[in-house]
Amino acid sequence: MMTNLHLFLLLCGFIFFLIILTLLFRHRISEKYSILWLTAGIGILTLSSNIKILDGMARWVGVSYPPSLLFLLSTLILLGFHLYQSMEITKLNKKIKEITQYVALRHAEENLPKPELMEKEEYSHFYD
Amino acid sequence: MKTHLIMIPAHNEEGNIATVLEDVLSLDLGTDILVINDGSSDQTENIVKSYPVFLVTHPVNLGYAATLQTGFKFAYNKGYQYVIQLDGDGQHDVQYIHELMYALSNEQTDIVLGSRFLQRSQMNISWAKLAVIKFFRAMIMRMTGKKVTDPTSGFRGYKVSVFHNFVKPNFFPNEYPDSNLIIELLLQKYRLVEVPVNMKDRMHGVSMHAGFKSFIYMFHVMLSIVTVMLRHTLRKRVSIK
Repeated sequence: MMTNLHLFLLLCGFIFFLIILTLLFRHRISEKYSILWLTAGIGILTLSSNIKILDGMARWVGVSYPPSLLFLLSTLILLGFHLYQSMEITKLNKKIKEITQYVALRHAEENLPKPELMEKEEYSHFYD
Repeated sequence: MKTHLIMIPAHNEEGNIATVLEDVLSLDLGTDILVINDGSSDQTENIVKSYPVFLVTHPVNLGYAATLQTGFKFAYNKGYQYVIQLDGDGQHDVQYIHELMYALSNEQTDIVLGSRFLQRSQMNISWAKLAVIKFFRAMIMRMTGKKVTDPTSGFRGYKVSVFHNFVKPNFFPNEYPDSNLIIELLLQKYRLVEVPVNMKDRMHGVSMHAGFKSFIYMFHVMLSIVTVMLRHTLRKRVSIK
């Protein structure tokens, strides 16, 4: 029998799925990441619509209240996503650093003071 | 083409950078000078532009380590043989640059570290910072067998045989190139000597290690040391196999 909680989870899964699709259509999220989130959405929908799967899994793991298993799985998946996002941020930070350094060095190269400027009289007082 | 480059990272140092540059220039060391402006929001860049030095400006603030790495990239691309690094906050007494250059000219030396503990220094060191320094000192000793009195010193010199590594991806630390970098280099059998230098308290502005940041700094460096050790052990095992 489907409880109110299961219905609520099903609704959440649908809304979540729709939000991801909308973001994808509006180019607010890339395909790469939307696949991950859509998979998560499908997971929530499958588990919350088919209670037997969740009950079976709960029995197998030894969780007496099956919805708790759903929350546990959600938390673990979110942890995994969060770790993945941190890895992506690290990768992006490295790329930003490399690009910034490249731009800064190129800009400096184009604006290097000419050797004769370095020897100019106006700077001679620095060497007194 | 000059062989030595004096590298000065600076972030919002409008109150100190002019004095530092004038002091270095007045020494007439026959070196090139590079200031790496790390996205300063104050007048640092404009002040540096009025001096006969090279200037590289990050369009955004990248942090101390990335700023140093930009300098090493500049030095490597331009073919310098030696790099002396000192901070743009005026804490490092430029009179000692010559000592660092002299020590680095020795064939048996790859890295030279300016130490404020080998002679009386004008810098006031808080007990917390001293405890951190002692801790890292002990860690370096335990891991490499080498006594380094001032592992957090930013007054350093490197030969090209060392700093060419800093240009490679994933070698140079992302956050703090301190004791972790020293340990990494010592484990790679580079030869380090320390030279007594004088350091002073900064005239203007706030240190990047001020307050709570010093604790974050310590944990960062500790974690970096652990990863350096793990990487080294792994490399050793792979090479044995």
